[in-house]
Amino acid sequence: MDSREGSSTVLVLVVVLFLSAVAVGAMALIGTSALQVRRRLSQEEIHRQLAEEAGKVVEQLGRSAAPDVDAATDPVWTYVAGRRGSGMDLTVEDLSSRLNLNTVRTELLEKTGLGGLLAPGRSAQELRQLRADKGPFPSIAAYEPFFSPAVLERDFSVWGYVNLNTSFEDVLRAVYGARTGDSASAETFQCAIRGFLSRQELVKKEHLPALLGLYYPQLYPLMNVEPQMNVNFVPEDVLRAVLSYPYGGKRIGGCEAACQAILADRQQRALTTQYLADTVHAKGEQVLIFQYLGTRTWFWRIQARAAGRSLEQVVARLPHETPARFAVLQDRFQ
Amino acid sequence: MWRRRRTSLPPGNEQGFTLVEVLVALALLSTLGLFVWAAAASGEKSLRRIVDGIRRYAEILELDAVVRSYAQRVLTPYWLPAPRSEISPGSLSVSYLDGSEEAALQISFRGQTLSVGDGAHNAEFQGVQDARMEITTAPPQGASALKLTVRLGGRQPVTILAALGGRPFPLVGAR
Repeated sequence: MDSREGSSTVLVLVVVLFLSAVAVGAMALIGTSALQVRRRLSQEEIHRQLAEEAGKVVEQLGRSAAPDVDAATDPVWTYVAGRRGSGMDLTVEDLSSRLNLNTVRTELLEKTGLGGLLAPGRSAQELRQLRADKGPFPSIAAYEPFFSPAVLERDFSVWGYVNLNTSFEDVLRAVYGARTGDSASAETFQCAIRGFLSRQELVKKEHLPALLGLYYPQLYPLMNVEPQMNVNFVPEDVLRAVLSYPYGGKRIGGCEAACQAILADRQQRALTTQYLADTVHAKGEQVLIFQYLGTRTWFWRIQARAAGRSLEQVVARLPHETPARFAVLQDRFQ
Repeated sequence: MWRRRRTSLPPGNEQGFTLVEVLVALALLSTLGLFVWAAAASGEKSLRRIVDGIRRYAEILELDAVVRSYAQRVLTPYWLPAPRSEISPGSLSVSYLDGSEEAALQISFRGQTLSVGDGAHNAEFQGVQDARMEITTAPPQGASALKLTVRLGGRQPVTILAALGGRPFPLVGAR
């Protein structure tokens, strides 16, 4: 070949090689980015599906079989069971029918069998002190030093409405102050609550506008006088403790029989407020028990899992709303 | 350079190029070379632009994933009226990371570097021209959300709206 031949070919080859190298680099980058985008889109799609499923569960929670009652016979449980084996794993838990450690009066721990669940060397007084110093806590983990993990998960919670009749008054002041930012009004509110306690009078729904004052729109229904726990789901230990507590210094007659009857009957049917009134023979100050025990579940935890991802929602039913309305208080996709 | 073969001529009677032919050929080749070079330069510029765009998009995706994952870990107690946050020029801090009042999601923007993390472990993003952050609400249920608007590489600003894991109880008492 003549040495003068092919000079333009070399130039073209160099240019083509250079462009090819750049193109290969670009293609690799595009490929990686496309993978990233595809992964992200599929994640978004799974999130959408899980949120849709949680939405359907909430819809079912609004359809109780009996009015004003949430029970094991409700359609939501059939729906959850029906989704098994579909690639979608659903879990629904009643969070507010466990004893709320953020608000509970520690006497309930001291004067009932619940005290026996405390970790060795721990006391209800210490729990109250911790809560006064740093509480209330958004996570149940704060109470880990006081109970074993299994007991904590089974019997206790930090979710629920703040009942003005059953909550410790220092906690009422703390929640009022945190919600409104008005500590002076929170003090006045606490004094008013102490007035009810000293008169041995229950706060009723009609007292709320006057008690909560200008802050009523911010505080209701977060603070209310609805029964805290649902007798249809309350854990056995907590049910026994609430029934055996000496309200006004005197135990409710036949409390153990009532406990056994409730535990047996709730497997068969939905327990109503009438059933509760007929089974629990509370008199005088003992009617405070109906501030602890009711037939409605207020806070639910819904977990939906699919394709290795999970969505956890905590929803609260708004009281006295027809049709049922729920507020999402926690929504975590992992 | 080509050597012209005049095969129609008798053998031994071959002729070379004239000076004019060589000049014309050179001019043609130079023009062709210029075109090739211009095309290559323009192609490389376009590729570089595409690559930059893709790289920027990948960075935004990564930033989006990091911000969302931290926002999900902010578990504001439901009894508070709003997420507990502190905003100053170029920085934002939201308390209750993993439900602890002492821990916070921290976002700061200084000298073209955006930092997202909990103070101890942070993800850093370089080449950020501008960053604005605030706590707002996100549709459809008005969830508390972190809104981060960033400008990377002199392009249009991009907004990331990341819902926080925990939400205050909504105002329904006035109804």
